[in-house]
Amino acid sequence: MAVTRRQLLGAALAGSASLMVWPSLTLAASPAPPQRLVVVLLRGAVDGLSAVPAPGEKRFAELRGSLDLGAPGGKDAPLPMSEGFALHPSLGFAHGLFKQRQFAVVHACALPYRGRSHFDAQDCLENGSDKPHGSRSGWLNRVVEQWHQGQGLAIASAQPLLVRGPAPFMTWSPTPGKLSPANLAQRLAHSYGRDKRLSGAFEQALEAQNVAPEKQGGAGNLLAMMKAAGNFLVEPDGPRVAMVQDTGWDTHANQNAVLARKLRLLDNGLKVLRESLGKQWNHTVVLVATEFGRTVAVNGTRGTDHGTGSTVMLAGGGLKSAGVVGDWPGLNKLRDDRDLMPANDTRAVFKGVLRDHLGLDKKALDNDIFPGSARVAALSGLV
Amino acid sequence: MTRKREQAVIAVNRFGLGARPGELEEVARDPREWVLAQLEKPASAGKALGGLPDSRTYQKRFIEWRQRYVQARKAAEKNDGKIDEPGFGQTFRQELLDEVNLRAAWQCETPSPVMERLVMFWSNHFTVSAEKQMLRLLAGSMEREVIRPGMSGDFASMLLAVEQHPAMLLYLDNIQSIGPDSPAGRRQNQMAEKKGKPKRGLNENLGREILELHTLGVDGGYQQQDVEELARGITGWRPWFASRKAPKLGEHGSVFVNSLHQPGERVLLGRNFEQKGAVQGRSMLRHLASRPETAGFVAHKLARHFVADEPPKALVKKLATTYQSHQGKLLPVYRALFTSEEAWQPGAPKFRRPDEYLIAVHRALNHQPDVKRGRWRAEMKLLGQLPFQPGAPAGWGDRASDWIGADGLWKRVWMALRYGRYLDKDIDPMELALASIGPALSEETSLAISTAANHRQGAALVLASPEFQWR
Repeated sequence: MAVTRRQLLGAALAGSASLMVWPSLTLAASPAPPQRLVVVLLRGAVDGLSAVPAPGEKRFAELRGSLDLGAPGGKDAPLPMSEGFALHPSLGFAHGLFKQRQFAVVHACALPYRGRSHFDAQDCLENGSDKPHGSRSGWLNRVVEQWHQGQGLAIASAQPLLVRGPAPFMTWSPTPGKLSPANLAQRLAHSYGRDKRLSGAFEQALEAQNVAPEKQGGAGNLLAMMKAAGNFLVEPDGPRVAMVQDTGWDTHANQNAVLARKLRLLDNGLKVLRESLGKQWNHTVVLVATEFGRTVAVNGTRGTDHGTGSTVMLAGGGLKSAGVVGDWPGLNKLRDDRDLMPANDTRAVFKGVLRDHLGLDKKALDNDIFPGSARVAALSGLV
Repeated sequence: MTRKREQAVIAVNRFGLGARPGELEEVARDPREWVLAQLEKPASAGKALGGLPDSRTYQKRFIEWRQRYVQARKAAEKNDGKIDEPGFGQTFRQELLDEVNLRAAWQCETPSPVMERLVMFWSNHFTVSAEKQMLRLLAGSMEREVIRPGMSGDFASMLLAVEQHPAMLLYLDNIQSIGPDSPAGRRQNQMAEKKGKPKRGLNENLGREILELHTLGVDGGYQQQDVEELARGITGWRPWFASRKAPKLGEHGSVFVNSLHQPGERVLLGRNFEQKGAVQGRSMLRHLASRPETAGFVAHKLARHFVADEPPKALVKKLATTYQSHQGKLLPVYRALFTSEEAWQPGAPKFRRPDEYLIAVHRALNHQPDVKRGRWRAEMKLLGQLPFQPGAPAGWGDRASDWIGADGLWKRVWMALRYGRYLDKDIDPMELALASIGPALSEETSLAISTAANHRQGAALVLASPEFQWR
């Protein structure tokens, strides 16, 4: 007898409470809005000048040395983008999006934090304040709270700081190996049904199997995570805000080889995300951010060290901008003679998207989501 | 007997680390005594953990490796760019594995699980999160050196030992803190001014967290000036590796650098501290330990950890009073906790943290973790609680809402499936249920177990059941 997982789930829960996977959304008076937001955190500090090189700069080739991938246009060479800028050859799908005005970059972004500790900088990137440990909740959680849209989704086993706080955030992450707990979980549906404190989360976990079944890849696989995020976001009563994270961007050595692979994964990740979002891609903005940039010059081990300015990448059918936007400091003057000078506050980019895509107001953005950031104006024209 | 058996479940699960086979019957003879006896005569972790290096040795090995690595890196710049020296993870692979695995093995086998829970509690209260490389080694040694021996003494002594430990001084940046008017501080800042570089000075991080997280609590009535004064009082406290010639500060590889110490008198919470040198900071810490706000904060956290997310106010008050009337001695506080009516109320109000869950799974199955490889760490990562790495000085959350989530539950079901096969073939899954969950086993779960497809699935159902997630 062939029984689908959904039927089994229905049978297991029949007679108990009705299936409410997204309770707070289901209870919301108005229908869920069409807008979707995906935040991708790349942990380890992405070298923005590798992802989005600036070969139009006179000193670019000289400063970059062996990291320079050459003039845009040729085989395996960077892909030409806005004037003076190109995209890393691994970002072919993103380049296609750019041609459709669905991919943009704000270069030389930095947080107010000027140290070079991954840990403290990631804390800032997530807590949304101007200093490490400046808030114990994450700005994306406060977005969901201010937007009054049910709950968010974190593709993670436990809530990262970015999504911690009063608003509910569901968690999901790929399960490694071949064991699938689905059958075992079905058998416990009644037991969990009577546990009021756990039944909601347990039902979510079961229902998540319909949306993002196991065996999509091992733990930590960015493709599996991006695909799952899209699957959840297209559910009619599903979340509208999701976060995905990836590690391994700390390229102190052999950067060209590492980034060719990592950026290809990211590029494929964007591709599977668009596929799984289907028509909803047109209502989606993806924000790809990192904690800080890297040194402009190559170090002794064919890599780069911790720096300052890096890129924020934006993708999605909801964009109104394309190519490199925002301020660009050039390479004539470097911070401490080594780093890309910061020209845009990372929070200004986030604010621009949150205001123009989700419709959040200035007061909420200045005081609640990014506390004390009134002087940081939202970047206009992105969405 | 039913009442005694219920109490045994509370003793073993709520206050301990989960029942081992046959343990509930044994404990049911006198549950309270089973708990209290551990306070008097705890089993020693010496044999299990004694072979691990101390903090001073770790610092020595770390700086030796770092020197080699920096040299190899310089050499690499001259030739092919390949660094001819293993990185941190490879160099310290064995130490890193041992710190996590031997501790996990001890947690799974200790005959004094209540004491072990207290170790976990205090280790989390004084969180050192291993975001800096050296802390991946020192977080474990700090727990062994100052938490394990300190938590049965008085709070002030443990507080002093923790704040003088190299791990804490490194984690919360006291290593960077400089008294701006200290001789070395003035010299450094004159140099910085000449070169047009930014001046360095006080780093408040440790001072602030001592007040907010270690002693008074965030509502403890301190002001910004108290944070700064405390930070000034502990300037010059550094890990040994940062100033190797300076005189000893604590017992475990830290030093006091007088030339970095901010001179002068301090005022903390309205009280003057005229002492000079390292004594000044110590006196300030002792004063903090004696404050009623600290008594209340510690009492609340203990009650929340062992009894309920929102602990009964009367219990918190009782513990705080005990703390004060015994000058911060902790055994009387534990005794007051474990003999209070409130702590023994039926029901299972606390959701097991991932580490408590994984340990309980092992204990229920009488199965010891594999100490050779990285399995424990990988499984804890999957469950969302990477060992020694809570990521923030506040440590792991201690409320159910911090841990209940769809993915967390799913991973527990997965873990149960993985471990189901370790149930002894002679033990029926229903026996496992009664020996670990006890009378709280629900009809629904019993039914599920009795219709399990096989022995392994039966065992997995017990470990994945909602009843097993609570204590």
